[in-house]
Amino acid sequence: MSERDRRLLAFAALAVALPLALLAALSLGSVPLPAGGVVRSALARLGLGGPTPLPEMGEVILWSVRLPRVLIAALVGGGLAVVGAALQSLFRNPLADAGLLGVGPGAALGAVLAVNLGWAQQRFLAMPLAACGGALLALLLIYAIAHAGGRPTLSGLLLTGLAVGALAAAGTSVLLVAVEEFRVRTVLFWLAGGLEGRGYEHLALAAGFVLPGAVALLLLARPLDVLSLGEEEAAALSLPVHGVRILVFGLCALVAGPVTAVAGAVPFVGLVAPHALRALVGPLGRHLLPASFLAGAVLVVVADLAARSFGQYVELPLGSVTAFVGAPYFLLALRGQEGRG
Amino acid sequence: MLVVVAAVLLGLASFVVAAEAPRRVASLNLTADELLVEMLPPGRLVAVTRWADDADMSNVAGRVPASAVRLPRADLERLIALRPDLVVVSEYTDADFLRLLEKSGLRHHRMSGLDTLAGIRAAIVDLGSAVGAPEAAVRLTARFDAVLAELGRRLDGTKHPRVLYWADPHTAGVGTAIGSLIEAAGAANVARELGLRGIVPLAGEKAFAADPDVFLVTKGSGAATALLRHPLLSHTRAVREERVVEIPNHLLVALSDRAADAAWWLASRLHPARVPEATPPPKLP
Amino acid sequence: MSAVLETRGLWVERGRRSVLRGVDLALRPGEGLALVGPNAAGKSTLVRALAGLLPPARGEVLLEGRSLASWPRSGLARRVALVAAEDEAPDRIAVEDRVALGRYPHRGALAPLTAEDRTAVARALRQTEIEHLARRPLGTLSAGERQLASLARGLAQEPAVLLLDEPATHLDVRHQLHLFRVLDDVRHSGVAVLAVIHDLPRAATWAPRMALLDDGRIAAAGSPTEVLESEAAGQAFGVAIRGVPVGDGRERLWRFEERA
Repeated sequence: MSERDRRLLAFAALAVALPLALLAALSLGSVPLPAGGVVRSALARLGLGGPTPLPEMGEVILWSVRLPRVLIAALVGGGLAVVGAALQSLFRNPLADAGLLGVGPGAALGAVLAVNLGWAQQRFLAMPLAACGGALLALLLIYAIAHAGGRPTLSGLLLTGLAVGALAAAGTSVLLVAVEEFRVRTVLFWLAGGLEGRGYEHLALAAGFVLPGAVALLLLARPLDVLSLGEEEAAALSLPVHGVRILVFGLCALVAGPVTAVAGAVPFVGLVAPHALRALVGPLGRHLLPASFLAGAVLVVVADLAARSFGQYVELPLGSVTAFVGAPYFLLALRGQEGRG
Repeated sequence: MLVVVAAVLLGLASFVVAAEAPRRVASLNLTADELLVEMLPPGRLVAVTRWADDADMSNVAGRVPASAVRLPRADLERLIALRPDLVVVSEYTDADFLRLLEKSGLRHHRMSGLDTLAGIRAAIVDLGSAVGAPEAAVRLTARFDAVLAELGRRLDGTKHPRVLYWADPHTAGVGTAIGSLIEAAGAANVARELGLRGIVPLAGEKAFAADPDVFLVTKGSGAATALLRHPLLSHTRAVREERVVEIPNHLLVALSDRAADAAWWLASRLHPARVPEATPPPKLP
Repeated sequence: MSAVLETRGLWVERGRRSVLRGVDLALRPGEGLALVGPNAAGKSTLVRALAGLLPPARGEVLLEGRSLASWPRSGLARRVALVAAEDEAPDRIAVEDRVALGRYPHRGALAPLTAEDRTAVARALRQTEIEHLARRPLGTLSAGERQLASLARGLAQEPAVLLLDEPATHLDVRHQLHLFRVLDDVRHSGVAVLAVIHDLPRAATWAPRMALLDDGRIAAAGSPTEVLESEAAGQAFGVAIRGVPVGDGRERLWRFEERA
């Protein structure tokens, strides 16, 4: 099979898999809805075909609970995968992902603070907004500190991110110990990652950052390709290496922060999706970034479906599901590389 | 004109009645489970938590109508499928979850103020009017008041032993139901002396230095044995003199009308001379 | 013919050390220049300064008579291509895609590649004779083929000046001959070619002109025979260099001996 055929096949498979995953996630759950009914209900909403065959209860479950949740899952997965792919080009390292940015611990600190102060129970959207604020503050802090010593280098940003992240994590631990016992659960559930109880407002929050951020990263596909040739060659090809790095780093943080705010920690998506796709569609950004977005979306939609299907007394944490799948995949992939190496 | 006004008033009245008397009530917390089992006819309670049948935690185990669905978790989809017209949630339910309830067309009643006995009493009255069973609430609070009044009468003038609730490393300070329980049972809460508020961790050394007369621990949690083996707290006067009270979990977590019974039970352990029977008389004047 | 790229009294510092200390050098269109010199003479630094990657501390680099500093980045990269010794491109990228990135200075970040770009890429692949490898991932290539792919990327830039830093270091003799033949073709099409070459006989065979860089200065320049037989070359390398005329007398067989 030619490389082009393989790429087209991969895109075709993703183009089929995403709607199928969405449909499965919309119809399965603790109250199963027939897939045909879901499709006809959607058509009815669009003014096509007859009235919806679902009972009113099914309509409510489908449109006010499941749809926003499933769409958030797709955005979270797509966003994390694109960020992973972009950072891997940026650092020229297949093990780079959103965890390097230092915004995750900032988001966690914001979330725990919201719980500690009782906002999470009292005010709508307080927790995701506080988490988002924490992530963006961490980003600003990282930039400000890294800038204080002149033009920030990539390693400067990384180390500052690490330090700011460690500070935020320390703050989170302090708050976690001080938080009242019955609220600890709320925090732990958030830290473990999950999409229970997320509605359209959460979707809007995530989409407001993920979609523009992902589009901007897609537009940077060619500069990222040039950057992957190495700093010197990129500079010789007239790429403003420094500016592109800072821009990509910032965009990645702007996507990853709100994603973490809405979904908590969802590991391995940013590693697995680009890694698997690079073998299928090649390393060029214009293929890899959109394919990673689609694959990440499929991955998290399915992982979220598993998370709410398998837990009896609690939902499984979404972050554990992606780690259960992602960590073994990654070990196998690394072992395969060593074998070839 | 008059007809129109009358019609509007009638419409309003029927709306108010409909709003005040939900036909199908779902409970998302154990306290509401206990109260609603007492308040509502079996057909109107459509869902309780999975803990309602757990004799270790629940004061209504074995009395929950079979028709009520036991929800293993706060699963919004199953909840919507039950078509309740009122969902009773607790103080610590997320605001984001409540918004999603509203968006799904479900009305909710939030129980709050359950950190004092007076707050519990008020919450019973509120819940009664929210589910359209005010007379049941009156019945429950009358008994609640009577038990506490009788307890107060019997404990009048006693010396208050200093009690420390201990769930290593947490204790219960001011503004907690456990703290109120200790005080209602004729004791002083050591955590209050230490200036603690809420369920918060307490360093073992501080607990030792506070030298409580009595440790209050949860029965079946292993806490009593752990105290005996604790490197420091095993040397406290209370542990050495075997003044460790193990309270059954269902009494400790009772934030319903049964909180009065829990106070009575604890008083019977702390003041056996004044309160000899372990359970309060079922009916008091 | 006037110089397309030249330096005037160029000083370049790396850290606090002055690596280039007053370099004067001119490259004319179609010229082939071998830059030689002992280790740490500043050859790589000079090549990077010529590509505009290192700013002058003193003096200047002129491209088409204008100071490099006044050139926009992309305009500079459309005229000057740099091919480094080490290829750091990802292993999975296909040869053709890697070469096509040489069109970045022409197209920028967003504009799609045009027919003109595709022609330039095809020509670069043809010139380097690696068309048959076009869709192969770089990781599957030999070192020689990989170096040719790097060169093809430089050619796809359609530069007026091609700078190469030790292009033949990792290559076996067949690939070396191939590479220098390609460089001759490039030169004959009017592109000025400057190559840092370690292997002195190879440099002398290929280059019409040679410049010797020693301790940050041009110590000798001229034909390879003039440069290598100069006192300066012996001094710079610390060896005795002797050219033995062979064939019709225009070529030399070079002998190197440690000085007593």
